[in-house]
Amino acid sequence: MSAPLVWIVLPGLLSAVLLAFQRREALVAFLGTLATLGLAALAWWLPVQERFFIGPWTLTFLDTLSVLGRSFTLGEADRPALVVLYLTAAFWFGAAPVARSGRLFVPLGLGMVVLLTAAIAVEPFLYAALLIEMAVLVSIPFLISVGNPVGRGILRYLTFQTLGMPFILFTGWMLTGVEASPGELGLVPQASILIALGFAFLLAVFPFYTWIPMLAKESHPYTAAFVFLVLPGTISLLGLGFLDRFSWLRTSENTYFLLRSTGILMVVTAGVWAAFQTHLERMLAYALILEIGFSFISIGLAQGAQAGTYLGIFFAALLPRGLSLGVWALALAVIRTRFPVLSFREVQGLARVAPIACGSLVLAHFSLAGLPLLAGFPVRLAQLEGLSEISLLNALWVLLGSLGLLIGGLRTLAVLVMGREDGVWQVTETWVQRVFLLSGVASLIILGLVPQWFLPLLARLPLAFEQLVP
Amino acid sequence: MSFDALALPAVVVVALAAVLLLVSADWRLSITVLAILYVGVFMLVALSWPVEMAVVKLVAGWMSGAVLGMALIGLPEDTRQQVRMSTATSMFRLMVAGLVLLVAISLAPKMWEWIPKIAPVQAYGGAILIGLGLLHLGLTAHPLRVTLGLLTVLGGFEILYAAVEDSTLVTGLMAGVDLGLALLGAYLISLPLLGEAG
Repeated sequence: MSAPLVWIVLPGLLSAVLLAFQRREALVAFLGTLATLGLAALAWWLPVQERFFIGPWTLTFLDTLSVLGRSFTLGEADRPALVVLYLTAAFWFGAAPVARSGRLFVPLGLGMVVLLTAAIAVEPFLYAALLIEMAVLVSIPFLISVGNPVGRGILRYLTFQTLGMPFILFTGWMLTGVEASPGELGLVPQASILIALGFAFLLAVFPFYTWIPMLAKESHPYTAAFVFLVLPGTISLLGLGFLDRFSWLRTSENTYFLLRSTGILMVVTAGVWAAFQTHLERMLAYALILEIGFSFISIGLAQGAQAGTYLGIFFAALLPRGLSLGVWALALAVIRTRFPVLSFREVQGLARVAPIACGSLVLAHFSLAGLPLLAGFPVRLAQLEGLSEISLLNALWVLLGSLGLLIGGLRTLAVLVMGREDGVWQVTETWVQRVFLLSGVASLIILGLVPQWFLPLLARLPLAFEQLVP
Repeated sequence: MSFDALALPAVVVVALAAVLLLVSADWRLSITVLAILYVGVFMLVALSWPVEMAVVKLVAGWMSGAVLGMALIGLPEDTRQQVRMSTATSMFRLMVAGLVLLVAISLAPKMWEWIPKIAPVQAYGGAILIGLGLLHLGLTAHPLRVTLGLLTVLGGFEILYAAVEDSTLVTGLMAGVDLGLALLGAYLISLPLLGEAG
């Protein structure tokens, strides 16, 4: 028995089985949720590399599985990442029937999670780029709606993610060469350009993020938000792997400056676009771009003695981000069942007939914008504090970006509640929709009020990067 | 078995195939040319790898072509030929392809400066395919064309990467990516039809 067998091979097989039963949507969603919850619980409780005694038998739970001469390793340090990944999948799959996300979402979503887990496990870690590309390929069928022509957003997503992979693989080879023989140091500038381009494609860095708003508009918001959450998260782990592995990259001041500058640029541009946005699904996309920008800023601050603190903040941000995106996407999905087009013109006054969905949407929006008392605020405050210690001007720019998203939220609120004064307010969401949305909103508020109860749960994640956090 | 003597013809084959993919509007010709392109890729990869491993590229490429071809055969005649090209468009594409070829040929020597393990012919073949593949991607928003463009770019990358990496796992995963791309391309092409079928 080995960890990769439990968290990669078995769920991979289950994904194939669920695909075969895709027409029984509710059953597939239930089984997918149960399996991913079980796998998250196993990752939480089951120690790797220990012996278990079952009657007369002794089982050793190994951390490595060899495939074609290379190994997949899921050790103790990877357990928190597994918990986060599978728990995210469980929450998303659990609400899939409420969101009406399509019958391919759960089977292929599980397949995507399996491939991303394999990307975390593969040794050498550079090969993760290939597995991430496969995860992208698996994600596309559940992002598109059958019967419609393929949109440009999907094609651009496929193209950019595919183009990113060769850069990462080639850079990995170059950097390994540089590390093995210092005589090859001349390759460092070329490798730096290639790695920057690779991650710019994969993480949708400005100006390569055009596909995110396009995809958000073309796809179901719930499935798109799932991809927007898990894909950049895993690619960031790959990026941290690069920093952890290559000392010249880790010790270079320019690396952190570039990361912070990229993050600030993304936050500012996304904030400005969000402030002027007139489409609810595209608004979600700009909030995500802003979040990716904040991830860059957190990693850019994780330097020297501060590395542990800011990497902790980077990982701590995953929880409020996942929760806010989930509530936002579910609210959009509920609204979309009545209004297929989610432009401001179409959804005017919608809060009067779907107040819970609209209220949840606005609160999730405000949470990602960093409004106090909501889940996103504690992490946002820590990021702004860290940035202001380095440069007050940079912190002000980032604040401007967040303000842009907040303005977008206020405009959304204004559009949703506008209408005739004598109009009747009514709650038309189903009971199941109300339960899911209100639980999400309650979690957003509780996480904002008592972040110290939850955020330390993610504090172990940076320990997987031994060189970055000595 | 040595492929040294066939290396230069292989570069010519991949260059001609990539240009033909760019200007051809006929899907049958495109699929045939894709199969020929992978013969060139195979010969250039075989300069670095044992034949039994290099042949994986050929098989994966041909299977990708077969998957795309099967998907197109299943479509009604009127939905297959979505990309119509006038003579002027073809001429324009040929001219731009010529420019990209020149750029690729002038950049290739830099590549073997950076990566001494790469043979000059591999650098030329890889650079030409990547350049023309990117051009293809820049000129289209049709699922079949995007798939062909991505396969062309990846073909070029695989030639270059073969010189520096010979892991069996990577070979398998790269073949998986090629096939996955083709399967996805086939799915995207058939999407309107799947809707009608329910």
